[in-house]
Amino acid sequence: MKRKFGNRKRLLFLAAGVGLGVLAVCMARRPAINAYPVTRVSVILPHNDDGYWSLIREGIEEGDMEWGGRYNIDIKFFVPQLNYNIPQMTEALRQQVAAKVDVVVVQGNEDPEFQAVLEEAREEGTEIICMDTPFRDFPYDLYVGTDNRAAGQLIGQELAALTEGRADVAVILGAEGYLNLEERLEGFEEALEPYPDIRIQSVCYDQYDGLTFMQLYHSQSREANMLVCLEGTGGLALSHTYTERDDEYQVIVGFDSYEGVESGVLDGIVKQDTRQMGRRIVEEIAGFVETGRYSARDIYTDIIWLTSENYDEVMNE
Amino acid sequence: MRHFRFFNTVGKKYATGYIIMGLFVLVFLVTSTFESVYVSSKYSMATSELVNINDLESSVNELNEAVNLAYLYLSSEGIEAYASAKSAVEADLEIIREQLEDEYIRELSDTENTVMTYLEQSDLLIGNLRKYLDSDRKDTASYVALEGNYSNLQATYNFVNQRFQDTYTVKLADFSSMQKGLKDLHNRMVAFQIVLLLVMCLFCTVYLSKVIREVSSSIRKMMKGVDSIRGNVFQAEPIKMESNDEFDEFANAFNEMITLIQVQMSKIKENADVKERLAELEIENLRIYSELQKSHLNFLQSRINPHFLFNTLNMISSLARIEDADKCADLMEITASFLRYNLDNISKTVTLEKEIENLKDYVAIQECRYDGRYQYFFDIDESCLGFQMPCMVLQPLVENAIQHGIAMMLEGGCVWISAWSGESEVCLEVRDNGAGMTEERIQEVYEDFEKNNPSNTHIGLRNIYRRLKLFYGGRVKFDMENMYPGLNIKIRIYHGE
Repeated sequence: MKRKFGNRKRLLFLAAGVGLGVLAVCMARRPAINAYPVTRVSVILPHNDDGYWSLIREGIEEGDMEWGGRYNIDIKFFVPQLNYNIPQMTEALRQQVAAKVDVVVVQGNEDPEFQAVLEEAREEGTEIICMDTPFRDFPYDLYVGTDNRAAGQLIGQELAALTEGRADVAVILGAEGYLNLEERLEGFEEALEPYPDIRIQSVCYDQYDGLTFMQLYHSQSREANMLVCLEGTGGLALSHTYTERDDEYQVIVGFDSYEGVESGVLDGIVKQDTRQMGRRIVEEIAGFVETGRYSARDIYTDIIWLTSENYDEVMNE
Repeated sequence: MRHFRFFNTVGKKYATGYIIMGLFVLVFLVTSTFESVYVSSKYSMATSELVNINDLESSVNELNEAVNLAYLYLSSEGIEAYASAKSAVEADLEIIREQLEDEYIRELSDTENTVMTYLEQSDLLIGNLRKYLDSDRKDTASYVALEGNYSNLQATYNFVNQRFQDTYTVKLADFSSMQKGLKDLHNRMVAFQIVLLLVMCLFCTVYLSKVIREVSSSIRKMMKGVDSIRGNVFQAEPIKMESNDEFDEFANAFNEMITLIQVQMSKIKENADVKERLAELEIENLRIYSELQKSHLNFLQSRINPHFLFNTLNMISSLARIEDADKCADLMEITASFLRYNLDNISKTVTLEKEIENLKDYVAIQECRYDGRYQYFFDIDESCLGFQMPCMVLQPLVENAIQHGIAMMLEGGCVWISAWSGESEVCLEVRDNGAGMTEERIQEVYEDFEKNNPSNTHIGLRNIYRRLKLFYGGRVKFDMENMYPGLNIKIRIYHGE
């Protein structure tokens, strides 16, 4: 009789085990209830290149993988059909404002209409985060990107070292109205102040366009023997155009186009840590979700002077 | 299976197989039902979500038409239609919010919020339009403001439409993904069910064939066991069963029965042997007994030797009568009568009356011999006179009383001869008042009675005892009692069955 009761007990335990197993599987399939409400983030990228903004995007996606689930952050990317097209970016921003998103991440620019829409967003309580470029006067909530003045100083110091304090320099930038470029130029000029024999012969804007840059490249060489590209488009255009060093300029330095350093077309570049930029944006949003504030208003990401000498060391990190 | 007490009957073994088969079928049905319910619920949910989104889009379109009617044509009907259309939009928004609580989708959330923005802007436009229409003076500033409101609203309406398109795109992508998932689920279910069926078939084949083999094996073993007892039960082989079911119990019972039969048969055989030996021994005993009895009779007869003495005494008695010696002749006749009795009846059964008469002859002889020194008293119950008994039982006892009891007495010696009948016995008693016998001596006499090689003393008593035993078997009791003075010998013969 006791044994029979034992058998029945064993069957009950077996049934309970199966039930618990099924329950566990069901529970495992249920999504975990997150303690935080959804934070809708819209990232408006000005460009979808494969060397700079794409890395920022990858950094954001990495950050999303790391913190997005935990802090219930929903990130959506918007890219204009035309590169750096402010009206298209403004329209995308307007859509985000209409959709009452919680956070918009944009590259700062000084376009009044863009900033007017941004102001609407701010009035709606939307957090404004600048990446890569801050706004000069607009009261953004957070900036994550390079300390552009420091970057300009760095390229200036390295250029002075390369030219031994004697050069006629042509500077080519992307477009007017971007604070980051202006800060880089200011920093560059500050760095060259101790070198009176280094003269800035021209400052031109290529409008983020390779063809425009190449025209400027050739036209500016008449007055300058050194070329400084304070934005990535110039270096990229050169590294795609030439496979080896062109002797039109004695020294060419730029930003971010590491391929030109590898091929020897460029003497050196300031390499920004764009992946870190993207990750830090998500990390700061996660911190804001948790604590209601950012760790600082301006967060500068790493820059490094990349030449053929330290190329392998830096790129293999 | 053999070690589980649960499987202790054939019925349970079969039932377990069928129950497990039933469980397989149940799992099959449950999985099929689950798949069917799950798939239909998924499709239903997805369709329902799309319908909800479509409803919201339709109601927003209607709202925008109402706004257009009100704004473009300054129609009061448009303003009235706006209120009802807005309620419909809000109701649909509530459904979408519930849907978002169940499953958050960014595009849908953006759509919901964009529709909210549209509602805010449309409220502002309609409010301002009402004010404009209600005001007496329609100024340009109000008109410009209304135009701005309308322009913003239509821009937002475009965003709403784009959001709906985005949502549909995502939902359709989800739907496609869901379809793929459901197809995968269906394939997995089919694979699982095929595996389940195969496992069920395999299990049923293995399990049931095992059970059937066990049952068949058990029956074969039992048949073998039954066959083994047909010829000779002692050559029966025990059934070795380890099936842990009724067959096991049956085999144990069968084996016990065979063992019992073998034991009983052995006992019967042993008894038959013993009986045969006993019969042989009995025949031998009877033969020995017969020879012994014959030898006893010969011995007794040889001791008495009456014929010679009887003839001699008749001759002497005739001479005594011729010579007028009557007393001598009488004595001779008495002696002859006494001897005749012995001669005629020594191997016969006589009545107590005959025995008493013979005893009186003997007493007369003894009185003549001892010239009246001793006295003899007879006390015989007449009802005992016809009692059948062996010849010459009382005379030796009286002779013994005279020789060993009163022979040494010069006077006063007495011998009492009694016979009476009780309820269950006849009692013969011979008592004297002579020297008697010590208790030890009485015990020795008793012991001599049973010995095959007795001492030479008291042969007469032992003869009487043996003859009575031969004649009456166990129905006789021979008692000797010291009377101080004298000895009392009492013979009790119990009535036979």
